Amino acid sequence: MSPYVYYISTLVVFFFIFAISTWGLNLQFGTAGILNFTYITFFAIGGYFTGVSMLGRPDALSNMRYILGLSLPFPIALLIGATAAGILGLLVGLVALRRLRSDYLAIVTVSVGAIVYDFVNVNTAVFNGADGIAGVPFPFNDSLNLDPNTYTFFYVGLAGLFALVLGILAARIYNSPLGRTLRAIREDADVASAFGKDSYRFRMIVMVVGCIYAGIAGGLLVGFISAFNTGGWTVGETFLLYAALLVGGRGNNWGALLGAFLVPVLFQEATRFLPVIPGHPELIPAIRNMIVGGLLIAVLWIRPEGILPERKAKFHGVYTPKRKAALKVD
Amino acid sequence: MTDDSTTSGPILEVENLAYSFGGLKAVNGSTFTINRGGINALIGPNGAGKTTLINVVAGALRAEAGTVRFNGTYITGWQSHRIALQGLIRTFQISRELGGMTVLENMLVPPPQQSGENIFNAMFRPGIGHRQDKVLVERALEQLDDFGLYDSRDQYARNLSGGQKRLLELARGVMAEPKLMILDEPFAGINPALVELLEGHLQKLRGLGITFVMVEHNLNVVERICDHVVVMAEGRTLAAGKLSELRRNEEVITAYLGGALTVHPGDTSASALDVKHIERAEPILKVTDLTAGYSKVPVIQEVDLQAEPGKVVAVVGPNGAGKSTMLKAMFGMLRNSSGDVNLAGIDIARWPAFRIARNGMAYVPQVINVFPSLSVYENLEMGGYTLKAGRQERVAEVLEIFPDLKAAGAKKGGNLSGGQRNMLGMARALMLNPKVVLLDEPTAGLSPTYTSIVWEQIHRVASLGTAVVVVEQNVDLAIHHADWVYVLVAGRNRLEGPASVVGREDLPSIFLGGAPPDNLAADIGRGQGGII
Amino acid sequence: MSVLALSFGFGLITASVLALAAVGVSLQFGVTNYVNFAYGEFLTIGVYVAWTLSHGLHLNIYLSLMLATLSVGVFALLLDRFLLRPFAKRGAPLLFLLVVTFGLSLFLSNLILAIWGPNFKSLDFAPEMPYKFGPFLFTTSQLSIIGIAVVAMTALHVLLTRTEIGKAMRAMSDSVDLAQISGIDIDRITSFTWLLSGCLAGLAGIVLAINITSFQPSFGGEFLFVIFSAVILGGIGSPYGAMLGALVIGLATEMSAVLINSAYKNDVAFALLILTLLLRPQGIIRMAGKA
Repeated sequence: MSPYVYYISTLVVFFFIFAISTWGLNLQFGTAGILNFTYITFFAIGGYFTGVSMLGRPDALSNMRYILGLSLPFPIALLIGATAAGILGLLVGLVALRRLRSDYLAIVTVSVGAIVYDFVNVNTAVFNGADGIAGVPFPFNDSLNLDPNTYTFFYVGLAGLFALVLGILAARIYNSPLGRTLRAIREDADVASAFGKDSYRFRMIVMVVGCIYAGIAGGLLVGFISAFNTGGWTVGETFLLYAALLVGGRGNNWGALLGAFLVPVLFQEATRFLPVIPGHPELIPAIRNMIVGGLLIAVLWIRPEGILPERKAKFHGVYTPKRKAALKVD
Repeated sequence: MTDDSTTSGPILEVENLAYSFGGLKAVNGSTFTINRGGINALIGPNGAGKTTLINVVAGALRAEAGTVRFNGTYITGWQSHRIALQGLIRTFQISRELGGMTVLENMLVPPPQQSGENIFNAMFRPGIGHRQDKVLVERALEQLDDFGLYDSRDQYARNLSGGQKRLLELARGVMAEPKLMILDEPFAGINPALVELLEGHLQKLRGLGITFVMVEHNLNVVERICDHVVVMAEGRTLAAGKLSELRRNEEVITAYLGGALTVHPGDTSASALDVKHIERAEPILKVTDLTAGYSKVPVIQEVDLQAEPGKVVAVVGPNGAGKSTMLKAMFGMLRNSSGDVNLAGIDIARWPAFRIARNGMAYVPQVINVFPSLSVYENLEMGGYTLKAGRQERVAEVLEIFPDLKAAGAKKGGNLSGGQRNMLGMARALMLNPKVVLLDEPTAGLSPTYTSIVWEQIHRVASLGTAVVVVEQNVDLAIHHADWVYVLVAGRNRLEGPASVVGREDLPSIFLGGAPPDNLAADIGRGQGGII
Repeated sequence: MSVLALSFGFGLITASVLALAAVGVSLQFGVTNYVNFAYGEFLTIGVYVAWTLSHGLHLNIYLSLMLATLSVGVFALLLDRFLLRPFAKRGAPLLFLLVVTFGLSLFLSNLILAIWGPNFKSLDFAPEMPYKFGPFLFTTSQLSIIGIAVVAMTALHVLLTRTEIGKAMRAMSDSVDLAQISGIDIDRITSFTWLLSGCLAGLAGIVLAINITSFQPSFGGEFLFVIFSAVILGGIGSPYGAMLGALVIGLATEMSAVLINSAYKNDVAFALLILTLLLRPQGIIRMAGKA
């Protein structure tokens, strides 16, 4: 396989993973208006738990230490990862979603992000600290026994399948009465309450489901690159997703997809080929992050609804109005 | 519409309900019963606690004492969404449409028990939600058609006109399948023709079995469509019954006007028309043709007012007349305003509030009129913030005018009694030695003792040469104390004249209804107001 | 000297650093009514400017510290004037302002990284021997940190209670409308508040760097949630609450090292934040209308 094809395939896998993450964020921020400033943490938790569920017991040879180590097949491991992310989301929601002010959830999520990051970094017993886990067996590799090239294509298909299913589910949520109620809560939580909607409960549901999306995406990533460490989930990753959502179109799942393509994939990858400045390897990534940060601000100023704004809900039905014209009272 | 488990018995029973904001007892032992199937009204003067009462009944606020029983079930202390699910639906005073959603979507949010709201159904069985939506959409479109909003169904709700938003508020509430609908001032500030339309809708809906309770100031409407009226004042229920009887009830009249009028109404020896011939001194403040509101819908229209140095001008009128709005507009606090405001020869109509404050006019708002965490001295210092020098001296001077405050010197604004607070508000306003002072209901909620103290102070301030404009809820006080009185009704000048002259007008009719309706043609012809 | 006394001493130092930062947050929140998520970067900027002035331009270290503190204040003021206030005046919802400050934090931390590089740096202070003060053990630097904090808090108290502008800040925190009605120029007071908030942040960053001796571009951002914990525990919007919260968090985190592994210090702050939000979300000193 030419390195060119291989590179594109990897990019496609990443695209699917980012798409799933952005959809999850769209559920939380775009649809329900919940400000989760550490989305990446749930991604990471999902990734780690998936990884250590697939790995065998840590032994002296591997020089790694981590919890679990259940040698489970991928589907179950992924389930565990997704559940872990969901549970963390539940706990965070229990603390912060009671108050309706956005600041509180934002502060709590930032804090959770810092704490979990620290915890994982420092406690080598949990996920091998800063070195992270490696050597995670490729999903389905035992049963399929493919050569590395074909396996890449297979994974493209696997990730694509997940993306397809999760994308459809996300669209269903948005277009359902649930999506409508979530948007109502986003617009005016007091009015929603006055019509019998339990704002707290709905927001909790969205928080958990959104975090599960993050967890699945994280699990897919670990399955693909078979390793994961704290270097891979800096705060910057959350920003990337926010930028993707805001640029692409918040509230709109197609917008989220577009954003996932434009920002994490196109922008990130396009700049990957800039020459590394000798002596300053951190410069290009730093400038890249500056652009992402600036992009967030610029989009909010110029076009906060994004490229593909939320679409008006249209209902098609057969109804003939009795009064032809709107009542004009002059 | 929906089946009731109990078809007999009153639908709403409120007993001894109480709620306070800090030290202020907004609802203080309110008790009344609403029977099934009628259009009821909850009326009362400003500050009676009506909106607070609604908020407590609907669960937005937690009652401190008392009980609420809805349809046989005690709902005291329940959260608002739970109460709504029982069939008690409330609307909001300022239309709160879900702006970022279409009109039709707004209608689809309220219906209860939508299986499509369940996460598993939404994800794995979308057909359930879609099927139910089809039914709901039909119902919603029918409703919209009824309300004349069909053509706007796909518009974003924020783009509707004021009158349309009001209709949507009602239509939306109906979608929630209510047994009882509590409407907060549904007729406030809308075009007179829309009033008729709305009345028709309410009556039709009543025919469908919905019971209504509306907080309303427009007593003409109340008279036309309400079967039963409950009067509230100072947080308590005063009386209940038919409006025609209540109008003759001494207590009710007193509550509205503030006191048995010492000048008997109906004594038409001098009519307000003669006012034009009465000489007034050169005004220091001249307001002409002031039209203003909080949105495109004006609350006051073409209002005129003059104030002379050293004299007290009172502005009275029934609720919703726009008295507070007028003061705010005069003080540059409203963006939507047009007309002339002339202060000592200078046109200040387009000036921002802080500039007006620094140039000779001061304003004391009704609600937050002191800085609660600052002491009395500090409050005064803030009033004199722009003084380059002599601030401390001025503080001392002002305290001489308000000896009561001198004693309270270091106390924090938030710890003062209501009367002291209002006086501090006035004192703060005097710090820059204004030519004109605007006071918004300085005696609201005060004991009779403090009320006289406050009016004494007002006279003292006037005697220093300042022109004082007072919005006063208590008509009796206004007539007793003011030199000139303006009566504002539905946002327009209705009467004006020397206090004694105005006092002889048929004020109870003006305030409690029964007076002839305003000139509708004039309203409509000007193209102002909530046109659909 | 007992371990307890030692850790109490450390607690005071951490509390001093926190107090400076937390008060800055509270003052700004009181006036603007939103949380600034780029505040951590203000601390970082303070340190790096101080480093550049002393290390790069070879200015006297104390002069550098003062200029650096001031520069962050000016930066904060300009930020508000040209970026944040336009958003607010446009009527941007709270959600947007928070995301803007969030994006700003990414931008600033990477700007610092780009300009100064990722390596750890230190402010030039010679290594010191600790002195014994009763049961406590402090170096001169550590004592000066506590001293700076005490002086700053006192100065702040005087500002808030004795000066017109301080009282105007408190007035605005109570009611922006009434402040305007009284003739107070709220734009100027807002600018001044940002200046003050920035200065406090810059100073906090500098003393933090003195305390932990080395710093890198993300050091302020990492400290942010501890600052927030102090602010929320004390009661958001109240500067005195912030001081109190700083004291509690500072002492708690350091003294917890007596019982548990010191690597979990920050977790203690986090636990206190969670407890506050669960039990008494308005914090110790409740400011009406803020929570």
